[in-house]
Amino acid sequence: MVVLRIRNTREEAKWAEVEAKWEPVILEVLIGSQPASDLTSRVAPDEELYFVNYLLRYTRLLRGEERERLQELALPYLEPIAEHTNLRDTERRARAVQTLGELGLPTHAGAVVKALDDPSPLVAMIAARSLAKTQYAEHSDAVIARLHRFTNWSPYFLSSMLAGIGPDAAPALRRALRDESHPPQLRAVATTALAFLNDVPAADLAAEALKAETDQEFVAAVLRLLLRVGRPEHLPIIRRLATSPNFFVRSCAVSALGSLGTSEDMQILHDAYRDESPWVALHAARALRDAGQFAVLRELGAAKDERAPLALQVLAEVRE
Amino acid sequence: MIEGFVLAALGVFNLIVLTYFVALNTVYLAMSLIAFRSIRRYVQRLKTLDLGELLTSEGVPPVSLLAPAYNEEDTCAEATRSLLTLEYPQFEILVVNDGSRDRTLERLTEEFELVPAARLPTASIPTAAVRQILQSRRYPNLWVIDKENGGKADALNAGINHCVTPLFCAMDADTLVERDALTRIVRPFMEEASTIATGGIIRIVNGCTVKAGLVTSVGFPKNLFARFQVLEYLRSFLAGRMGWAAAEATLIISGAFGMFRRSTVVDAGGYASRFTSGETVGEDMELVVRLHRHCHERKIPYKIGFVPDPVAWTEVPERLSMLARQRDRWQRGMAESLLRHRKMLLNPRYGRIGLLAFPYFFFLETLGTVVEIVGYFAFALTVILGLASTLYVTGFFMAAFVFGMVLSIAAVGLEELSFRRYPTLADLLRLFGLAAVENFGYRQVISFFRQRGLISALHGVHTWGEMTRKGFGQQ
Repeated sequence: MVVLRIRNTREEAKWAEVEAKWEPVILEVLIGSQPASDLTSRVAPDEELYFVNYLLRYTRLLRGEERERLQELALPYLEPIAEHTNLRDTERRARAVQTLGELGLPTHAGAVVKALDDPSPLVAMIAARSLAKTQYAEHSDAVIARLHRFTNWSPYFLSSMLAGIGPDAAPALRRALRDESHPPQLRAVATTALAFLNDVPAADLAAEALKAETDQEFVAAVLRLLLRVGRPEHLPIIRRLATSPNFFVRSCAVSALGSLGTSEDMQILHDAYRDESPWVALHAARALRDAGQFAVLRELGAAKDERAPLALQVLAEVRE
Repeated sequence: MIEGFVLAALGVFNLIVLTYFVALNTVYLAMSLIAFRSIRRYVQRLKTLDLGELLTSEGVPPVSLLAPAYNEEDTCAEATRSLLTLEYPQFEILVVNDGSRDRTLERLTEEFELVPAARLPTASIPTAAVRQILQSRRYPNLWVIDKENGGKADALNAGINHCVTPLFCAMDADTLVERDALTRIVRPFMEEASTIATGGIIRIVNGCTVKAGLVTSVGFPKNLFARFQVLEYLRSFLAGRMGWAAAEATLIISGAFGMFRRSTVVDAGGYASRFTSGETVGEDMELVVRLHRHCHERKIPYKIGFVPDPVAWTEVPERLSMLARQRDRWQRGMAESLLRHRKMLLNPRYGRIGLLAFPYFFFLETLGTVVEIVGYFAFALTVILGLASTLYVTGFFMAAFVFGMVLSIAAVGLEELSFRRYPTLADLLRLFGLAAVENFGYRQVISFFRQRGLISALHGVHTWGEMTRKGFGQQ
């Protein structure tokens, strides 16, 4: 163990020394005031893999031209890493796919897309996350087609990831929403992603899909979508769901009414404020706020009943 | 004839003791080996983790931090300030003042400009009366629930009742959580949607430098008891909890730092308190055991795990009397939790929890302390009477001391292979030294305290005992 510690300490010192060689020029190279060769000439053959890892640290810090220069710096060293995507060790494959995804696209897109079918869900997910970006929208179909591989993941996270592709992903997401052969959880993920994208054409598709699908996650996702991009013609279905026996669905419907509802829906919100479920009541109070019913909320807050704090709480949220 | 009977009984008992030590340490060894494999993979996996990406993702669930505070006037302000600096997209802090008799509430009010605010409970777990809800004018995500005293579990339940996020993090008011710890501990909930609870690692703040609520440099405690506890915590978290988590049989998540799915905890009835299913001093373990039971009985798919990289720092007792009270309480908590759910013991309905984790904690960790303590005396008596064979003495020494020492060194090895928080070679050598020394005195004393805890549990004692803290400024 002591030998291990001494070896680790020496390794750390060695790499710190190597980094100290690169540190003075990396920023100059990234902003374009020095040629890349000023940096790459300092990379010894046995330091190449470490150099790529070093560059990887900058990926989240950079955008635009600097990011492109970073990728150009890495590109000559990525071929051996691409070979790592065939290793037996899952973690090393995952690391290789991540590196290619961050620094090697679009040159190494083939290897990353192939990794979507990797036997390890971890590797497949890293590939999906790398490709789920606006600049690689051409791969959105490939990512969305593999959604079934990621059903263990948090649906909300998946939706957020897919929305990261941007509006170009919408057609494939709409297809996923419509496809009744998909499990409702997957359709819910696609629908929530469309909601994040504020995809107007999806509203009619989603409302139509509700006729045949009753899964609460899916229904809630559709209501989230309608909240953002719904139109008055969707109100009847939202009103119907505002009385659903499921409190989760009721909450989402009430929120959607706050955004889309007309004056005739205010009574529904008022009733929902008294709902036995505090969650429905909370959503109803926020819906009243979103509908601009501040006088109603002040009146409810002044009442001497156990729900009064809720109205005051929601009014205070406006002031924050 | 009586003498013969006594000698035979002593012989049988010595065999039981030997079997106990071998069984206990074999489980420890198995857990260490599983943990070794698991940690190596985990450390590799961490290299593919982009915390920055997670922090900017809309898909990260909002969380509430529940920090119960009872007479914490020395540490509450700094600990709360530390929570405010956490790096996480959306979080609320709910400090629950559990009827403190000192100036805890005044300190918080002065420090964070608290004003009365309205907030509707979203659940109705029975608790002691809530007197008022306060919100910080400077930090809108900081709330204080001021309530009548009801104990830690009751304070947590009051926090859960006012929690509006899908996840909550239960912690002690004096826990210092590392800035990225929330992102790290939430990750399992994102990667596996059926996750209902995860625990993070607890490390010891004694000897470290703390500035503005953050541990800025990790140091080794000067106090000998605290040093022994460094080793104990490494063994317990890196070998024990990591191993049990890899075996998918996590039965303990530390009350100092654990993340839970609110809806599941509410459905299971919240923490056990005198207002719910009955008070216990081991509310953290009892909740985890109950969550297992709840999900198994309702056939709800679920995961409860442990992740070794989210770090929370806590102060440990430096005086023997306080250490005694703490261990007494922990043992009582464990015994109470297991006795309350004894239906799960060796019950195949509860899967590997009922058949593996529960029997281990029940027979070896709870009842085993009695065998251990009595065993030391029996061993001494056998040697004094000249009845012990060389083989037996060697076997006992190997099973009770050498095996234990090897396992402690293995735990230090796990730390060395993974996180290496103790940076100097001198620290490492100290840990090795402690691994040897702790077997001769410290372990026996701890076993004695634990045995006392077990007896107190059987007598139905429910008191927590006071713990005096130095405060982070003096670390």
